[in-house]
Amino acid sequence: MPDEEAVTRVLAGEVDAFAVLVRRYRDTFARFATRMVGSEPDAEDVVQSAFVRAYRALERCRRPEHFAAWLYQIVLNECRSYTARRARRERWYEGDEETLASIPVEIAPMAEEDDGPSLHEIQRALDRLPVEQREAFVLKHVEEVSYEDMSRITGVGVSALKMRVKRACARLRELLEEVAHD
Amino acid sequence: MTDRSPRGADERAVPDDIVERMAAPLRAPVRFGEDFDARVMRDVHAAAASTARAPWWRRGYAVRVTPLTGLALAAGLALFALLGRASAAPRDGDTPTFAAVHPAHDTVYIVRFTLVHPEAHRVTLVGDFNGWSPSATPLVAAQGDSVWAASVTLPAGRHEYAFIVDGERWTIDPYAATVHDDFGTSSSVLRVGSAS
Repeated sequence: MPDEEAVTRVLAGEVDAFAVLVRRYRDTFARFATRMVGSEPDAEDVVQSAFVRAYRALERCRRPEHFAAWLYQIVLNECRSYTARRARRERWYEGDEETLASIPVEIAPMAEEDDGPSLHEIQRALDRLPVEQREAFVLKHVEEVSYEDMSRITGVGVSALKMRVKRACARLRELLEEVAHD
Repeated sequence: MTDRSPRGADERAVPDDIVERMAAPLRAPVRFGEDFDARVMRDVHAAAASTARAPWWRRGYAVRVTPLTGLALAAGLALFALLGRASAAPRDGDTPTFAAVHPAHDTVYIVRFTLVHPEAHRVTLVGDFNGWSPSATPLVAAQGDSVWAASVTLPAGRHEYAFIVDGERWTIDPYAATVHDDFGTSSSVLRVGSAS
């Protein structure tokens, strides 16, 4: 069932048709959101919330044939909101030794045999990028979205996106080199 | 948004092979739990049950608003709402609104929402707390039918809301922060309790 038909059916009252869209896009957004928020459980909450928001607003998907791009916008906004909330939380906790001590420490997996950076190391470096650079890098080099589509999703111009990607690459490289020298 | 990287690194393009080494591991698939679809559809069905699927009332309307009055409430079991300055006339006869909160309990809050609108025949409150239902929370007219009010029990946290005037005019609260959602609609934001 094409996206357009699924959207039409949902709008006509066939709620279960929305499951087609969930099944079709969950894996795409599972990866995207995990890279954006840095944690799979948090990404699961983010994407679940985004799907429900999308359902509630489905009438405003003016071009159902472009449902995926529309959903991307919603997921991206959820990721941004989550990141902002987390930043506020972290500021509150800053300096609270007792709280910091209570946070579970994630155990890093062993380094890969080919001595390249591990997924864990890259994700940690990605988490340290400004959110606008992180989303530009993930969209371009992980999800392999074209700059034109990135512009539609983010509302940012192509030239600005290219600069963000370039800066993200440079900063990621620096961060990973620091890890390698430690 | 602005880009905040140090300028020094900006002009050096990272070779493609290095970019690829950084990106390739991130392309590893991520799979959510097996019950993910079921959980999403459970929430979707709940949303379908609680929300009238009628787009007309969520379309944005430009509304001029003027200040007025505020008041508020309290929480727990013994709480009370206080309507202050309710007699202040709105400029241009338009639509002032206000909602305020005074927690007296750490988990239960009653928020009194008010809207001054002398011309309104009917006003309802919509928000994330009532499934954006345009019929769930009618406001009651007082003060010679110019002030409309309703008290709503809310959990602590952030809530988005708006008023619907005469069943068709989407009206935000000029005294509250405004958010613009993904779909072109503005809503007001209320924070209840100490949580952000």
